[in-house]
Amino acid sequence: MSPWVFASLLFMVALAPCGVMVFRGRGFDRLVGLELATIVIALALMTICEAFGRGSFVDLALALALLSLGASLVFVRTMERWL
Amino acid sequence: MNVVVWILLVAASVVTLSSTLGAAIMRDPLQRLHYVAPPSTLAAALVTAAFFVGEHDKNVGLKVAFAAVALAVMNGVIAHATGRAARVHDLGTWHPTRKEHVPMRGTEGEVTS
Repeated sequence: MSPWVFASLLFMVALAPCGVMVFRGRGFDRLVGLELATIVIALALMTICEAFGRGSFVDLALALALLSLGASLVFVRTMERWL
Repeated sequence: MNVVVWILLVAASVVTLSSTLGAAIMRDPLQRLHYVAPPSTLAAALVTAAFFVGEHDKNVGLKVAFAAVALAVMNGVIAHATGRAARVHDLGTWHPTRKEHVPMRGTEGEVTS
């Protein structure tokens, strides 16, 4: 097993606590779980690309990292104002 | 070289896994927010270092480094916005209440509490 596959598996295991946070608790607990899951998924995408020898697919992790900023801010403003 | 990649990636994975477990254990959203920082800064930096050590194509390493910087910057902005929104949602205001006694510098330059 290559280190990239091992790291990818551990990152996916790390998504389980994020899922627990997202599916349970109050609204802001769920939001924090979503933000944490986004970061873990971006890290997992980086290592999965290298594990499968598709280095060019790192663009997916880069796009997720950039787009999640705006998405999270929209969620935060929505929950602050209307929920 | 492969050993260094192993060490970097295992360290990044352990940091991420322990942070997610810690965040799941905490009870308050403000406590949970503290556990978002290690994966977005330390783990991302370790993965980036692993790419520069183990990957021959440096363009991929540069993209990963850019993504890691984006994650680190994003973490600071989102953590502040989320904490502020949670406080406004719970208390109705961002400003400290009378019971909190937060030292604040007044507009006249005096330190008040």
